[in-house]
Amino acid sequence: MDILTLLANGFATAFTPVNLFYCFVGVTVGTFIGVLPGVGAMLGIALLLPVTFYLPPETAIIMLAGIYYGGEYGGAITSILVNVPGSTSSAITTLDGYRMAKQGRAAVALFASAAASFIGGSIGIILMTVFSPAISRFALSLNSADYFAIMVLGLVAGALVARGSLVKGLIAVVIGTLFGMIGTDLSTGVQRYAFGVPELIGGLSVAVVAMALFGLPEIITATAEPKTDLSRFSLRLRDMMPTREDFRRSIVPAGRGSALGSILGILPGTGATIASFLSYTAEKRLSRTPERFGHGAIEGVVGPEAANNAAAQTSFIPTLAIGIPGTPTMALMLGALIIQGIQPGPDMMTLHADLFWALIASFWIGNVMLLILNIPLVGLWAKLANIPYRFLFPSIICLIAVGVYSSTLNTFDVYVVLAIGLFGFGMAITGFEAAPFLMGFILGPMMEENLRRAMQLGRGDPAVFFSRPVSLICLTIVLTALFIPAVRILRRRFARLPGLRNGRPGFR
Amino acid sequence: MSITRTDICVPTRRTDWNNIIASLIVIAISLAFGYMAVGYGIGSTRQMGAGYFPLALSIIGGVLGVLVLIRTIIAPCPEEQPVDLRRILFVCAAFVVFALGIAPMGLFATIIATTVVGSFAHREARLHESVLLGAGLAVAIWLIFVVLLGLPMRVLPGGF
Repeated sequence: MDILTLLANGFATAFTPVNLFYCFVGVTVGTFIGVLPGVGAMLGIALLLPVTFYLPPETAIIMLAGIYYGGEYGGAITSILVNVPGSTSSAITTLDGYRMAKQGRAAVALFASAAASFIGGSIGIILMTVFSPAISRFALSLNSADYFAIMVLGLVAGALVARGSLVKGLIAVVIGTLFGMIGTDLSTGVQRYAFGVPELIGGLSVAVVAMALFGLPEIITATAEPKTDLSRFSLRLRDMMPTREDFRRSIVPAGRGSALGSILGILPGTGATIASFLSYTAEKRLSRTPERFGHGAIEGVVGPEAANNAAAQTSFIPTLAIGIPGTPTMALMLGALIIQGIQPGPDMMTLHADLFWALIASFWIGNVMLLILNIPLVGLWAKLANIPYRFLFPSIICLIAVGVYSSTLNTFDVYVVLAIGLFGFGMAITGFEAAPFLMGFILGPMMEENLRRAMQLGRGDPAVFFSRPVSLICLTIVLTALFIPAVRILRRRFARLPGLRNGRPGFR
Repeated sequence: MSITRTDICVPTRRTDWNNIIASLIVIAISLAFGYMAVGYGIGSTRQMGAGYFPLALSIIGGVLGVLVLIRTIIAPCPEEQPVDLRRILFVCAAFVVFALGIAPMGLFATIIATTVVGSFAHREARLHESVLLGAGLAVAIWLIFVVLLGLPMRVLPGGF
């Protein structure tokens, strides 16, 4: 069957009332979560994970995906109107978006951001449609050594892009992977780290760990409460029309942002946030009037917003077609599919082709819904950004508690969430990132399985990792990525040795 | 993943207790996981036992932990991280209230109690507001989880 027939079937599935409803729920919750500062798509997806246990697989993934790309739309609203990033991938939008708002062009900035998001999203979906089948055919030729190497690359990349030090990022990955070992080992049947506690024999649940790590530390540490007087801004529809000049300036950055975002979305480790930062840097570099950036340049809104949405869509390609997520959010998405009994990867495109195409179709539907939700209703969303923490955070606590309790009807998980949440708080205040931890946690068992199989195939000889091109390339990148910073640090140490007292840089 | 924090800081003479404790915890976790991994059976590289992979990870984790510890001692750069004890206390209390209350008290009473306790993590919280918020949340959660998803959860104290 050709792509168009498959896509048509996908639309048929996505247009059923149930799927339409949950797609709408997903993008609405996503926008809401995106608008709320300090609450990321991760927490949104984690909070709705328990709900998906009661839904069929395609409906579940349609809703969860909607939260993710919906969040990319919503984040920009807060960035532009409140000067606080609604989500990390919209952080850079504050620079020029908020300036535009202060200059009385809030409506134009919001329109431009929503339109750019739509363009970026659309290009990402088209690429996903065209390339996923081919990539999954390629992935069929990969063996367990390749899979292991790609996962190592993904985890190291995740540690590299984490803020703070590389070593701490790696530690977060390792500890996360160790936590992923809790429970019964599937190939030997040995119960690991369960201490005879029946609730631990099945392992820690992804939903519990994700809610704990992305909910609790935020609730405990969040300080800056957003406050803005929205009456300053005029957000009527007719204020939104960009001028001919705006339009002319925006068209190329939107295209460039989409292209950049699409590439970065596919690569392991880099996702929407890095795409938006790089797009901003690129636009400023390439602009003939770089001095306008930071003073309300529309390119600084359009580029990053196109980039983060394109990346949000294309990051589904490796997750679904190869079965290896490139970002923590995608790892969570993978976890959600596995809970549904679906193992993403090349087989998924044949075994669950209907699910894949229904998801693609839902992306189109969801993006159109988001355009409608974001442009005429933007005033409503803006008000939600001002919800005080004393209302928001107790609500999140209740949702986490009920969500965790609902999946097992056992209060044990409520205490687990609290314990891991406090652990995550400790990590947060000492500069360890939760995102690499979660990636390690989800990928850990898969890595172990592939390592085990690769070693069996290679008869215990690690040369098996260097005899295949994909695995060789991935491991070479990993080794260089780990080696180069080490060399740089050593060289800097030696270079600065004489000037010890003049503020020698140390590394956290 | 923000660009506000950088990798480099100017070291001071003060001891960086946060990082020392953190790296000690990392080392302790690695030791514990590694010690137990040995008990699960290492096997051989060709035929890995249940302990092989966790042991390898524990070794990596332990080495990295030692690296951070050394670096923290040589070039400490403590960061001011204000810890709000009130928040931690009330957030923990809220979860405990939920865990203790949900089975005997049912959904409505527990959600209201959890909300009230949780809201007092913030100094500006007011009791009547929190009770109202809790009641609203209780109804919303009841609609989503019990009515829509059909979860067998006790709603009112003593019965369904």
